[in-house]
Amino acid sequence: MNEAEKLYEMLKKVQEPKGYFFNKDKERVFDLIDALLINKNRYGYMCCPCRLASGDKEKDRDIICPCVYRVADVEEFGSCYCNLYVSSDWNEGKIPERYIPERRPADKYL
Amino acid sequence: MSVLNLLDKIIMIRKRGDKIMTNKTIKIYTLSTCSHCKAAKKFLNDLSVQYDCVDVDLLDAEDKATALDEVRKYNPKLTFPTILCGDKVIIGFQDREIKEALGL
Repeated sequence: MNEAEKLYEMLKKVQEPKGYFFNKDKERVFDLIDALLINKNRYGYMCCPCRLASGDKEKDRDIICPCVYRVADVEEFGSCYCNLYVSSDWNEGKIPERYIPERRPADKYL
Repeated sequence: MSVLNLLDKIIMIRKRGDKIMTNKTIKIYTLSTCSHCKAAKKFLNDLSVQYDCVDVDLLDAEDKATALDEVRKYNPKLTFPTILCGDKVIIGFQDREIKEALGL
């Protein structure tokens, strides 16, 4: 198993029992897992690939994957901001796929 | 021009391997790691439209600050992708809105 596959298996084991499933689109999932590993290498922590990291771990704490906004996004839209983690209903097509608006307050980027 | 005629024209242009001609200037601010940004770029590539792209996360500190000032003007939430399509601003990858902005 390569690093991405190991991370996938580890996260799956931890997150699925909590009700957070990887998107059924495995290509997209591995693209995002590769991006998490790029960010880990770049910043020293696995910052959300779909948000701009500041490089300061304390400032980015809310967007270290899984981000703090995942709970509310999966509850409201069936998917996290990146479409990495989704609910079982989302994977089964019971919830329409839509653009997930950014829940993180803008002032966090300043 | 009817929609069907327009589609025929687009297909004809694509068959010739040319870029779709649009008078809209398209600029897209992205993150190199972002799945929605990649999807937006693929969508524009598949439409064969020309666009300028800036991967903001790959810029050095000075260029990043300049790029973020630009993005902030159009999208104060600083989210990606931020797509400028003529005078329209599209936030996030929303294919229908891109097509509408391009008149396709």
